[in-house]
Amino acid sequence: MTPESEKLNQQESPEMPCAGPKNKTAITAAKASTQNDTQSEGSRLAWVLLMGCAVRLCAFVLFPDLISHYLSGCVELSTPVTSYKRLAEGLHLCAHDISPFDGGVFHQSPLLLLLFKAFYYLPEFFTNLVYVGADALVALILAKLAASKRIQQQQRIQQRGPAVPGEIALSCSPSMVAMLYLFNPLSLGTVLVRSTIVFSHLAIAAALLAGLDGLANQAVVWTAVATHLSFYPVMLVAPIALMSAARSTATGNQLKSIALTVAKFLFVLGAMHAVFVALYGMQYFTATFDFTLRVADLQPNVGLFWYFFIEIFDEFRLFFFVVFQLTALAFAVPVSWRFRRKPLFAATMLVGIISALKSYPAWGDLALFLGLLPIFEELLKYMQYAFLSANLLMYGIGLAPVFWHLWIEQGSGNANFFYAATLVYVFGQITLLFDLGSAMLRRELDIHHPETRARPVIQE
Amino acid sequence: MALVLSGQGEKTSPLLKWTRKYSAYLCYPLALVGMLWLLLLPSQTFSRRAYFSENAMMPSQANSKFGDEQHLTTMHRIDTALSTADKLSSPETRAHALLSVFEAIGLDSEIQRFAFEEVPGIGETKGTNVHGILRAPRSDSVEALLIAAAWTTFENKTNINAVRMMAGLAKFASEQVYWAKDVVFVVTDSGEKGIEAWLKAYHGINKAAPIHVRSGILQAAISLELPPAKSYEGLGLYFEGKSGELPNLDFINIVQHISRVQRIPAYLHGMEDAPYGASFFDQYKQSAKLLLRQVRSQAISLSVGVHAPFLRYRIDALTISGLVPSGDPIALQNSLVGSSVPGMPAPATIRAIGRTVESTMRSLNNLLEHFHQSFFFYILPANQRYISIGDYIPAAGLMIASLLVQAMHLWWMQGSDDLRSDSPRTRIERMNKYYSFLRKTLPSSIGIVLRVHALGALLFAIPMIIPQAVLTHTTSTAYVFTMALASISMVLHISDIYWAPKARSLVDWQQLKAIVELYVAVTIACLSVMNFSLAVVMFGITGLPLVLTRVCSFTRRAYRIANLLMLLATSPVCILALSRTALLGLSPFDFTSNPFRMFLEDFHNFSSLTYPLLCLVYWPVNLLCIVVVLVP
Repeated sequence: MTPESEKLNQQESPEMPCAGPKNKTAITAAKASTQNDTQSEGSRLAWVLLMGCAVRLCAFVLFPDLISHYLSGCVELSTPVTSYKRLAEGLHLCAHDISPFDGGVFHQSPLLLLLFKAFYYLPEFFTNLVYVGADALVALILAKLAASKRIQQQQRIQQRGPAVPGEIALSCSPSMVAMLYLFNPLSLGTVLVRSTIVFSHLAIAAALLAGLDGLANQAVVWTAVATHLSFYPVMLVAPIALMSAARSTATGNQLKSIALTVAKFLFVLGAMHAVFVALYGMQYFTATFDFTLRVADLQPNVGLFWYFFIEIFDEFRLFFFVVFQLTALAFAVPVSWRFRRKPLFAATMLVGIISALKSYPAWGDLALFLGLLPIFEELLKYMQYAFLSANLLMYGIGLAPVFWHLWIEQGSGNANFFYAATLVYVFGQITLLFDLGSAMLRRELDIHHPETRARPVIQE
Repeated sequence: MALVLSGQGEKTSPLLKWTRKYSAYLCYPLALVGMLWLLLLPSQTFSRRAYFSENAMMPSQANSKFGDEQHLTTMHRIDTALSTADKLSSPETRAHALLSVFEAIGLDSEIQRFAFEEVPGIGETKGTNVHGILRAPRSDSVEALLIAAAWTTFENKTNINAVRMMAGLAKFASEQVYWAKDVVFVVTDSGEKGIEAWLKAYHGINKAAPIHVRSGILQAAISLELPPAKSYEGLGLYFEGKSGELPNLDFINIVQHISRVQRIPAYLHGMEDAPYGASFFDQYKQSAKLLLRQVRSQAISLSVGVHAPFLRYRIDALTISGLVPSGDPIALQNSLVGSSVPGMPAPATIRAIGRTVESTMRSLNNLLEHFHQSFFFYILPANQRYISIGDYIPAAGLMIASLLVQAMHLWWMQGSDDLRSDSPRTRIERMNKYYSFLRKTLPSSIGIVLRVHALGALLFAIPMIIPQAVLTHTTSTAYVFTMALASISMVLHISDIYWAPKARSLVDWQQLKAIVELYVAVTIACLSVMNFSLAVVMFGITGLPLVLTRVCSFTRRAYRIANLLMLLATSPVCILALSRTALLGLSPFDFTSNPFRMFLEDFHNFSSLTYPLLCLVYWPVNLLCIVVVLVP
């Protein structure tokens, strides 16, 4: 076992390493100041959440026409599996006792139907409130993740000293994390369009928080819910399993706990699917799970799949959808294994990979990834080409609506223009992922090999 | 990836250090080459001969038969109807006269009475449109062609010739059996805004003034503008839209070809080419004039022609206007006398123009699909020559590259020099220092950018919330000057905040300039595909000053003053004032007309881009440049 895992195991031991009287007062003073800090942090966080909610509600109230005519039609923000209009269609069918999957319009989870059943009869303002509340909850959970991670880091420093001596900027304050997520224009746009990806993000964030806090069963249930809502969080089983495995000490126990987590996950997911298949028949399966897998609707979006699948012949469709889905799903185990000591980071990388490579992505997926990034503030200083990835993302996000306008509304452009902007966007995401991964590798190098700290690192 | 490393200075190879230091100077040649490329466009280096791509059109392959006595009689009928009803005075009587003529020909006709606001919130102006639809005899009304005219021309003369021509064409068209698409004839009395109101109603958006008599999808539209004259020496072709949209090049090419066959050649913007044996300089001058005319129409698009609203609806459209020779008897008569109906043009002229339009409609009739074969992105330096996008967009690319290169350099060079020095420190210390510098300065940079853009957003939004701000041209001038004063106070406010020594370390001006350059580069890149002329103009007034501004901690007072003068010269207020001469031919001190108000009108009625760009990009960026020059 490497020293790092030993240290991780030691983290759980209740006894502190021997500390003299000077260290003790330092520790108690640190505790007291952290308590004060915590209180002011808490109030700052509350303010940030309030302002975020206020901005969203103001946008809903002040610009209803802009939202319903223009933004709701933006394919970059809503996709066939997350569109609010389709959810409304499903609710309408449900309210009239017809199966919501009749008609081939509704492709989302019946859990969402359950959530919004009551709101169908209330004015639209309450639905908007639900979305604003869900987004605020995501921000709150991200802030709590940052706080948990910060506490763990501080405990570690008190026990064993800093990982890299002289290092600064170890952890972002929770209120800053929440602010960066809430005031990201991409997440604002996602809420205004009322895309249901917000609920999937909520489930992912809750799963990560539960995993980090050691609540294994909760983590598994939330991951299953996230997978049920949108298919790709199935990749997150690997880091969640590793998070719960980190709690046990011996190797055999670890393997057993990983297997147990996966089994629990499959059971919960299978149970949910079975219940809904029993309620709605195989139509439910074809409309949701199968739909996402075989990319049935080729509506343009900011992903890679639609353009390709428009061109290929029917006999090759099966082969290509297997290849494309494998490209996305194949990263789960390798990424989690490489970063097995830091499962939260592995989960973040997987969230980024989902955002880039899933079958129906939207800008909201990038918003979650960018929201998870500040939690790893210690890595941000190791990032080397943030300029490049920021520019690529800006050009991808800026040019996509322009080319859409040229293609669809003006008739001067064609699909290639829009796909090119999409490619730039995905390339920017992948550059960001590479940068983040290499930042983590460099940090690990700095931690484990102190003799290299004075020398420059050349990456071939 | 090595070149785009952050300023951490991890790899300290001498080549890299040299590149970083001297990349600052790369941006000037790039911008220069970009601008030189633009200067090369009028020479014939990049242009190619125009050709037809759509084989289905077969321009002027069929005999044209317009010009019978019957058609001329119908054209006279308009005059009779109008003179019996009180001499062209009230729009209502005019509309009814026209309606009766259309109905006599056998078209399904309707009058649309609409009202539009010039600027949001300010009083409604009423207008009347009359349209008649000729149903295709043997097909269902799935598609339609359109001929439009306004009652007044661009120079405010009466456009009665175009209305007469339209009536004659309608009579002629109603006798033919080959129409596969309906033909719609529209006459409006409010110019571009009238056509916009008609189009909105036709597509079902205008609930206040709906149209009930409709046809199918409009495939193409021609707008006629024929000032009073005895004969025309040529036709003028106008093709830009309200936001720089362009019709398919095929449309322009067939009209030029057909008009030449009919011996009444069509010239782009009414400008003839330099004669065949002319010197290079003369030909360059003529091309340059034509290109500048196009830049003006595309970038500013204030009054481009009655065809302009169609382009926003994916309907290829052109305006064909008659070029009046000097000394024309009817033209002179009409400019001297006031309100009598001017005489008809000579029958030969009527026949030529009528046959041109007839042939064009015949070719359009052949189309099975929308125009899709030929170019949508082009620049026309001369009649029957075009420059394709691959040949003119590198100019924009180079200009954007110059902004990007300077942004990269500034990003590397931000902070004091000891961030990048080679003093023996560990990698950790260097990273820490760089990151803590970023952490300290990035929020202030973003804060300043947001503050200045908030001012720009106010400038944008106030005329929509408080319409009185742009009530008349004079008040809008006052509004612009008030906002200029507010901008100055914003600059003073920012300098106030960051003047104290403690606060001075919180902001890095190079970083701020880098961020602004990146943002302007993205904007110009997005614009260059939508409206190339506007992108070039934006670079000229926003990007170039950005590139030339030097962050002042490094320059002497003389440079600072020179920079400030340049920025004031390219500031929105100054450019708006100077552009009156270019746009409207007025003196810069004439406060009774205001481009700002005109841009707002265009934005409100046609969603054209100039107003948002002016308020949200040009004005704030100019302010930010002034901040960067003045404050440190």
